[in-house]
Amino acid sequence: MEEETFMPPKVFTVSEINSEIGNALKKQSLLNCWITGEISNYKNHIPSGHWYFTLKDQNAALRGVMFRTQALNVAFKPQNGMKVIVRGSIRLYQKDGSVQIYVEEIYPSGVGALYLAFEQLKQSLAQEGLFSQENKKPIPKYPSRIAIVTSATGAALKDILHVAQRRNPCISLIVIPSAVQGEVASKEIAQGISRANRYGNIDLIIVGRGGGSLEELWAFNTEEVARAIAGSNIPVISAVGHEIDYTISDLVADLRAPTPSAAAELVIPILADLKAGVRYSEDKLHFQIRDILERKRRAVEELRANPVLSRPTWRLEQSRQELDAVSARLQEAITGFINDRSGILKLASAKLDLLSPLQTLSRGYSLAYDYQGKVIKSVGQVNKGEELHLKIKDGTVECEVKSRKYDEVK
Amino acid sequence: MENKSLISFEQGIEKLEQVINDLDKNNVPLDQALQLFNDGIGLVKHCNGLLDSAEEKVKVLLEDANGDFSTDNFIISGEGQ
Repeated sequence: MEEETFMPPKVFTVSEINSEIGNALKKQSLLNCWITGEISNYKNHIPSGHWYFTLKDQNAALRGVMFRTQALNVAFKPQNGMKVIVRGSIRLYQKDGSVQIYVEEIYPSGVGALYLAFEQLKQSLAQEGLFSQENKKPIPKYPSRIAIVTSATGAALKDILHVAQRRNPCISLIVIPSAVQGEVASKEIAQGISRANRYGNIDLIIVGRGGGSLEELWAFNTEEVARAIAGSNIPVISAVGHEIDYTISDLVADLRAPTPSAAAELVIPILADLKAGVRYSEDKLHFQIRDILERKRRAVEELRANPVLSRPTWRLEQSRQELDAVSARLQEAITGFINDRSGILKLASAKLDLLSPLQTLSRGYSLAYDYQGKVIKSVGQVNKGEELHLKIKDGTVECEVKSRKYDEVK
Repeated sequence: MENKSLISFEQGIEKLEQVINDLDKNNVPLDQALQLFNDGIGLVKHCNGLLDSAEEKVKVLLEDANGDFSTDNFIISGEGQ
């Protein structure tokens, strides 16, 4: 019976146990993790191009591999003894049972951490739309008051003042001192930008510093400064002399200048140009008004030369003359009309005569009309005492009906 | 024309360009042309005045604990970053 309850221990094959270990490693924290350590046993495998190395610190070591496709994107050459930060997944290499990190990104330590922070912040601010072009404020063409947020003792300020003095000594420059490196820098820069906004009466803000290492420029890659720039109601120009292409503040700012003196060159108009521009406008105005006056004067001259103005009665005389001509033509026309028509008239009345009852009357007949002018055609049309008109060849006779009588029918 | 003292150089130049454009139009009545010319010359004076008067030196902006602002002449000093 004892034998029936005896459970032999599970015996794994090596493959099985490695597979178990492999499964045990499938945890989120291991599939995507960041590790810092020192490189040793670095080997760039030819011809595959894969990198093999060991990451270690004082007490431990971990094997790592970076495949060629990822290694191609790395900007520096790893070396033994170099401190790095890597990102990748921890997995078991079943063939020799070793746990390895499969590296996807690798950065030199120190700077590497900054790159990482830079990339992460850049991505999240971009998603928020802080870099979007439509949020950029236009840079005033003729700023007269410019605030400069930078170190009061820095080379950047000197450069800007120097360029400003050369281009346009009349522009007001308002220095808002702030640290530009070290722990307080980002806070002070952000404060400086908000100070310029609260102070008001400022056309634009230059924020920047001279060149330096990535660590020295770091304040310009912080979220605090980025948000201060994005929140500014006054246009902001970012002018950071730097090693990497862009700082976050360059991306958020309304305009980016590669250096502080370049910023001053970009935004400060040359005084002589401004004066020349105003002088040009003034000359143009004088020319225009002279031209307009000249044209009006010519128009007056032309009017004065016109006979209407030179002989005021001319119009009347001319009208009278026109009237005479018209009435003469009218007379001619009517005479012609009458002459033309009289021939036709004679002919027409001859024709009418042939049809007229008047022609019959000339032979001794007469026509009788009642008081309404109707021709009497029957005895029944008249009553006793009624007046009748008899139309005879050469006149009319008024008569009264004494009696009436129908003819006897035969 | 509104109160000139409130017009910035930039606005002044813009208005001046507008006046010049208006004068360039054909058949501006004489009284209007004279008025425009007057306005233009006024703007020229105003802009020149702004350029000449802005002889302010470099100032440093200071803010005290109460958030009140003051400015002081800025004197360049020191070397370094």
